Amino acid sequence: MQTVMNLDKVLLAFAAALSIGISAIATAWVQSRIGASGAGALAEKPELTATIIIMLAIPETIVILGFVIAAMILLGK
Amino acid sequence: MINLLRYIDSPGFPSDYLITRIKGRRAALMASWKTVRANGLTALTSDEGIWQALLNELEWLYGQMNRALRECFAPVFVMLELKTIVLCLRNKEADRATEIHMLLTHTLLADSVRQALRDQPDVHSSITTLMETTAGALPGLGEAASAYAGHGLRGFEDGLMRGYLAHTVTTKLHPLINNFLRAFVDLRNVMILYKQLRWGVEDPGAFIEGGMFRLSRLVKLLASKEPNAWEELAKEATALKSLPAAASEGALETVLLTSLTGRLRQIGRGNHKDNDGVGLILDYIWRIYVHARNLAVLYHAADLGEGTLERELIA
Repeated sequence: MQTVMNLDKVLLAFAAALSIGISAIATAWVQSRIGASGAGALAEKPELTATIIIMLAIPETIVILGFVIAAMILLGK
Repeated sequence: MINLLRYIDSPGFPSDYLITRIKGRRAALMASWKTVRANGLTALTSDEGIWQALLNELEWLYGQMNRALRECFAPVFVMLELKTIVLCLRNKEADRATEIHMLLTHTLLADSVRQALRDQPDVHSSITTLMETTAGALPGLGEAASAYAGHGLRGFEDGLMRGYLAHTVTTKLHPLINNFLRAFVDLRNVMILYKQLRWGVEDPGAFIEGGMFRLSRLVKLLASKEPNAWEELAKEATALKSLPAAASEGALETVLLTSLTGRLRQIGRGNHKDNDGVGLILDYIWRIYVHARNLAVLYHAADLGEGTLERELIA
């Protein structure tokens, strides 16, 4: 019985880790591409600064959602 | 091929960065062309000045590319730089050192090539030094040197481009660049066929190998001596059902170049699979070339009237 409960905990922790890990990797990849393109756009049109910062911030929501889901997995009943 | 170009120590920038910058500069290039068409050429210029502006932009582009892209585009850059070599030799023949200096300031050609073009006292010794320094790395140079002996710089230019294209299309290239070079070979072959049929000259050796049209077909059409035999090929090359009235050699060249421009534009706008941005960069390089050609037409033929200009300018 103890072993089954421990396995449940391991699986939950693993699921939470996957949730935050995959979303963090996805965010990093997207931001690297938006960052590079944004730098190029800024070099040609500096007036786009505000737009580029917003574009760069949008993918942050992916990792935040991953974090929320991980928290729900670990803390939820 | 990359050894013929200047070594740049910088590793360049990521493709995404470069692609975005090119999109911005492409829009600026189009805007500048609209201004030129509306107001005419405002600054005093020359063939060398127009070509120098092109070289300036190519230098910027080459410097921004990462090493993989530089390697990939080296054959295209070298192809455009062949004209720099020819312009330098023409100026050397006319003893114009200032123009040679102007052309070599922004060229991408390697130091050894630049030295051969700058430091040698005459055209013949420049060509000899070029052959020694490039040691066979520049395809077509041997053929061009022989042509120079018989037909002067015009023969040198033709021989160099013919030898270079025929060799380069047989090497391992990115598929889009390979297709572009083969289409360029076709374009030149159609022009050669048109000229030979029109002037009644029969020289099958002038055709360039490696295009989509087989040499045997070109030779057969030439042998037919039918004055309009070139139309069949021109229609295939441009995918047009009927060709606009091509009253002159220049007008036919414009039709062919406009068609190639349209195809590259489609690739550049992402209508084809182009994950690595090669199509977009190729389209931009071609636009720079077309811009320079159009400026040269305006410079030389501004007095010929709007109708002639419309026929000669590439849309």
